[in-house]
Amino acid sequence: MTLVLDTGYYLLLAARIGRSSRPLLALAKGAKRLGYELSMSSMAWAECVSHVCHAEPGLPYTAWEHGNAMTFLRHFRHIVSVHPANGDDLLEIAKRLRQAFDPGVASGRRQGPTLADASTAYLVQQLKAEILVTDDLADFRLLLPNFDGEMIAPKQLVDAIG
Amino acid sequence: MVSAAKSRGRGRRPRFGDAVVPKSITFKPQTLERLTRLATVESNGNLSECVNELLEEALASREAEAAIDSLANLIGVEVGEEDVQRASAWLLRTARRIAEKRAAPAQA
Repeated sequence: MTLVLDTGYYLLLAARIGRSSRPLLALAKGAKRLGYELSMSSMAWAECVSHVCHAEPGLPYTAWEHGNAMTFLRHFRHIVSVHPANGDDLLEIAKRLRQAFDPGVASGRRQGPTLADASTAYLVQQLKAEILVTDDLADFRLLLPNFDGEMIAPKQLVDAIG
Repeated sequence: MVSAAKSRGRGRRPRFGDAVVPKSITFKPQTLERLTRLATVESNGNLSECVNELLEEALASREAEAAIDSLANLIGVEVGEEDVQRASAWLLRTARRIAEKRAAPAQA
């Protein structure tokens, strides 16, 4: 079984709220023991890395490099398999995003799915994943209208397991 | 104990970049039998490749568990066996539900 994680899983974990962190880590441990795969698209991973890159502004480089945010990210990297998208994949991802969402027509909406969301949706299809963990449930319903697995928000996951 | 190379009469030829350990590894006979059976099914009979794959999986799994424990330490929480069992039970329930849903159109 494959679980695809979106940036929201990392962000909730990185918020280090004990009530949420424990079930999220338990899920990762349980999945590993069952031989389930925890996967992430390289674009979602890039969002996590970017988050850390901008964390703790003003901190001297060495302190940042050895700081909590970077250490956290390094450990997190061992938990997930990051799947890179090549040039052709990205063209396909862009086409699928545009098919699912026209930014002009949907200008009234808050935002709509991003290219990173579309790359995660593409990965879900490529891996035939069973579970998608994401905060952007509405966006992913647009991107994956025929998804026959289950989508769940990280906070719902915490309630379901915690 | 049985030497894998001796029992099979040959070993995997090292490829460029491979590290060859000049030391024989001794397996329990029943372990070697299971490994050989698995290698036949999954690695075209290549025992070294099979052992490499199994070890890589086992090491990755250990590293992941250690990384999860390190994250828990950083956050200051303890992930107990009960938590893991609850999460595993949820995963198994969800996997079963999805498998049933995916099998349904095929049955119809």
